[in-house]
Amino acid sequence: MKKAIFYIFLLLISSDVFAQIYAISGVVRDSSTNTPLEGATVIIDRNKSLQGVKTDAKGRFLVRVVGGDHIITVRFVGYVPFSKFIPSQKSNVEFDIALERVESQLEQVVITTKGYDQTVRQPLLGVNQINIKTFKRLPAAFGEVDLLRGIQMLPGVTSVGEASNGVNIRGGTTDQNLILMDDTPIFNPTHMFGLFSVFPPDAVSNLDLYKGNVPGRYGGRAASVMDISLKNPSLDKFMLKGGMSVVSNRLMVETPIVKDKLGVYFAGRGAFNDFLLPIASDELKGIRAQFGEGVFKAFWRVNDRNTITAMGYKSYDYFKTGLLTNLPNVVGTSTYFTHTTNNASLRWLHVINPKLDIQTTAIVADYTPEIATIEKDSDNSVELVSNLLQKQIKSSLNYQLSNHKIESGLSFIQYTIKPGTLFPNASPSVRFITTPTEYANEAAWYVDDEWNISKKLAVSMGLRYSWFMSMGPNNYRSYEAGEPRDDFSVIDTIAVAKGKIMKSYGGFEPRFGLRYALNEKTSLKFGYNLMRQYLQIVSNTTTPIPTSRWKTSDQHIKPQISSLISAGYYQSFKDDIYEVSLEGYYRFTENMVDYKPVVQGVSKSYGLEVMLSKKKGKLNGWINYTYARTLNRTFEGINPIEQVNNGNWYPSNYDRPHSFNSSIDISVNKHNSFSFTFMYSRGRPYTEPVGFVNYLNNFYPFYDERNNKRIPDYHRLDFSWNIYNPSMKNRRYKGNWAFTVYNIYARKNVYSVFFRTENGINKGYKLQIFAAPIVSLAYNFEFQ
Amino acid sequence: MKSPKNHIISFIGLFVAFVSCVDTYKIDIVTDKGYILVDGTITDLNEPQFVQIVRTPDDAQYTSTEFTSTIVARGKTALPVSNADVKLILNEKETIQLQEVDAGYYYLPTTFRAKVGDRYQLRFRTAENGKTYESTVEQMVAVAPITNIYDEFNPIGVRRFGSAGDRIASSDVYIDFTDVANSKNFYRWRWQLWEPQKYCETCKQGRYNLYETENGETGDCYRDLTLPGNNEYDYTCGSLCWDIFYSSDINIFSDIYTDGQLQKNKLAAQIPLYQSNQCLVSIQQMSLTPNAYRYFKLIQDQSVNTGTLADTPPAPIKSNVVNTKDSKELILGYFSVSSVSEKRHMITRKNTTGGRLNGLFTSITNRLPQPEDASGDRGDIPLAICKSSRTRTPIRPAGWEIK
Repeated sequence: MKKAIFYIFLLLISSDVFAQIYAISGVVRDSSTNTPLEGATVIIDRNKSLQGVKTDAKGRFLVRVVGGDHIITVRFVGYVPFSKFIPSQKSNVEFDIALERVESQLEQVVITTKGYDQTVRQPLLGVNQINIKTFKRLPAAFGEVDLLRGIQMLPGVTSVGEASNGVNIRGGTTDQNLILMDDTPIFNPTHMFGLFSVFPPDAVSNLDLYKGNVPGRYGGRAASVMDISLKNPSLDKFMLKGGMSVVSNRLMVETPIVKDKLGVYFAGRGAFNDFLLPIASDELKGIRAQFGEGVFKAFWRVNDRNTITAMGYKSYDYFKTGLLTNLPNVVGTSTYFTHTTNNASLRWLHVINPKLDIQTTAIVADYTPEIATIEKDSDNSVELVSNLLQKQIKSSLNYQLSNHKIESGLSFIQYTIKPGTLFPNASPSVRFITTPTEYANEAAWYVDDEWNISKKLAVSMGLRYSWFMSMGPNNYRSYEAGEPRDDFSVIDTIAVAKGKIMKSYGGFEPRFGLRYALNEKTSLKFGYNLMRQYLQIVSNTTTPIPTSRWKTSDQHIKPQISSLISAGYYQSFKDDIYEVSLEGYYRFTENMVDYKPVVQGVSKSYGLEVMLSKKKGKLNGWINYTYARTLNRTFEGINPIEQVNNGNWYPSNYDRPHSFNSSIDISVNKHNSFSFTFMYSRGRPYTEPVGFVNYLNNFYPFYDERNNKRIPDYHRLDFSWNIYNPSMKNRRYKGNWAFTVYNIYARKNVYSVFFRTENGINKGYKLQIFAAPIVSLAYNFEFQ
Repeated sequence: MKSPKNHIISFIGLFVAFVSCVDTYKIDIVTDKGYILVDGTITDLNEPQFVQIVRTPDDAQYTSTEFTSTIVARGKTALPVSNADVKLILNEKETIQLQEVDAGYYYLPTTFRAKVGDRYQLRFRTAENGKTYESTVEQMVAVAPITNIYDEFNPIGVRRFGSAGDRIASSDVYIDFTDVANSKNFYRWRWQLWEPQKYCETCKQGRYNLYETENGETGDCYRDLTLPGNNEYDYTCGSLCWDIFYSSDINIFSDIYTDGQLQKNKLAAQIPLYQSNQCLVSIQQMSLTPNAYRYFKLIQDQSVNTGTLADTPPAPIKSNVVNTKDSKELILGYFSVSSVSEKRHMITRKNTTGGRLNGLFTSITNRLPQPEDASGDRGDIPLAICKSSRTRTPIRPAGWEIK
């Protein structure tokens, strides 16, 4: 009987299939060059379903549909979307679709990459998907395209100032952002202590910024995710790109090795102009500054079902300046800093069938900061080197149904942290000293489901379980009771054997997003997130610096746990040209880390973000306003004198209640465009002394309440003029000029206010990083 | 006028200098409560040992001056805490009473000698409100001796004491020492300087006269209204006289990286080139307890090593002196005990250039001395007495030896 039912059932299904299902397939190409476009989104009946398929490296796609009339829509960043009505068919149909470049139409694409009305339709809040082209149009300091500066034009993203080594997203510290570049974590996102970001501008394709809902596939940081994808190498076209600015030189070479099978590229940037400094001024004699980065990527299409991608990345900085403190407790005359990042990833994508694929990635990230002192009467440097090594393997299964998109995966991370090794080199005075290496493992399992319940209702559900183990071999340190925990108060170290768990933490991390469409153009969203962070910066400075200590959780430092609830209202109008969004959030973090020396406590942040954007047309851009607060409180039970502000709530170092940003881009014609950006934010807090005393033959300030005052408000206007292909001829070689004025009205924005005692007197000072307009001209070229 | 090429280059230069600039920032702070400050370091040197206890005024006001932006207190920065009952407890047993000699200065008996290994605790009760304060028990730790000392001329030099901007060339004094192996050692250096002084008294709108007292001859300025209001006469010393200067910076070190090693070329003092005369410097290498080191390090990080791209966030620093009834009261200062290895060194200044012979007076006052000319009723201009004080002595300091 059961068998019979089964056969009837099978018959029903198959008859259904044979009678009604047919395939729509085709190739998507660039209309002018005829090259296939990889990654274009093909959506069938976008009024009914959110799900689309992506074209492969040859621009091909295949969608199976049930009989009846359909509308096919093809979208790709930088191209004019294509739509076509397909009347009911009996057999498979094929299309050759040629997409026209937006530039040819003088239209521009801003912010979202997945379709103009994505913000309204996606069941996730607080997600910005930004194409590198958007960043390239923004006026950039010294003409260097900068992702981190670019995202600060978005609501909810701020920083402590120009020289901050990272950004603060919705009240999170800089180390609470998971920054991934092609799946590899970036521990230090800036060159020159915050002046430039480390992402090679020519190789970056786009940036997904998750500051609200974070899918379950991401984990390990408490506040947000910045997922940066690098371009895939072309399999059929040679290309040379490059550029010059006052600061750096860039070059990118892209070439297929085996046509349609294997392609590679290399993109690099280097800034080594500092040898000119002593010529410029005697005062700059002691300053050295060099940095660079390079990325190599290879893409191998093994066959129709398997692809392999390999990526290698290196970044390097060398910096010598009086603006940073010396290496303490080593007798020397001058100090320099270096930091190096070496990242690599290898990804294998296996398509089991058009609906199911499995992706496995192996990742290595290695970060090495160093601070060194040069000894008197010799050129010997005494070097203090630390190192953070992350090895990761992860695998995910993606399953796509008509109204479900399911992903589930596993991830395993091994951290090896060498907190500091002192290399005396030729020094007779200093010993070789090494602090015990920290080992830790982090394992996670997750599942995500994006489910379109009805035309009006869609949800995204995610669940992650993470388990963290602080491992031996290690020396578990115990400290003198009541003393600050530092190298001086260690009274005993207990050896923990290799492979033995010293301390473990773990738990579920639920993620939930809901979208309810009030109508075609308006939606409401709600989201809840919980994230756990086991790796953090423990820093004794107001903003972490590249040499700040990364520390895995252990007996003394508990993992940070952050919960976020957010809600939003979205509306697009005038044929999706305009979009308005309103988002509110409240975040609560347990075990936040502050310094006094190191203390833990709780942090709460809340805010409201309003944004209006114009997404198409000769004039486009956005304006936004954010009200946001971030307040911290140290745990009760700490010795009263070691609590910050007597255990009361106090504003965080990056608390900026009001901010306003505006970005406008005007395309004059095919060859000229102008951009303006304006930023305003309320000054961040600083700590003013409560008095001054004569002590030890000098005049010292003394402090009580932290962050009791604010520095002056920050505002700045930038301008850029982009000239594309001034020869106006359609050659294989194209050159562009970018003329930029950063800080056009020379606002002397204050970076910090500080008090310094020197020779018996004390004075208040304000440090201004960019105290003048910065005019720069950059040249970029492309040859293909 | 710079050439365009130079402009481009200086522009690149500006980039690395962060196009940054530092301006003064004016403040106006009014307090609503006072704080107790304990300034005391007990050493095993053969010299008077004392502790200073003061209190900041309840309604102190601190403002930046108009032109130099130097922060000054309106009124006194501190008032002495007088008539307190101050005791030093030795090895948790013996109690030694301290006597107030000057207002707020409490001295140990002259017979007192601190010893390495002994433990000391300061305890005092204020007279005005009877509150009791107590330090932690501090143990005197041995200190490694200074093995070598030399000086080097530094034409760039240091900022003048008490001055906002101008620099003065210096003689930089370097020392060598060998750290004690297999122990955590913490060091602090301070120095004293004896400079020969030619002028012992300055009278404003007045003249100097000598007179006899029970304790012998002394002298003073007597007002003379026949002189202009801004008139100043300077009087030559009647005997050898030395002005004494003290170090004002915090110079500390931990052997965390250097345990047991010979340390060479440690900069211990920067002696301003006040004059070209030879001078005597005493370098004191002091031991510290870990907590004293942490305390001085925090003061240094919060008040001296500031203005970097990433400063240490300022916070109240935990003193080792607490109110026994109220642990939340913020006390300033630290009671420390240090064993001292002292090395005295004559700086000949033969390696210096630009110093003026007997120029100390001009260096400090920024003007030439103006001696009183002999006149009819004052045929003999008296020579001034070199009065002994914390900053002056007529007694030849130990180690003074012209080379």
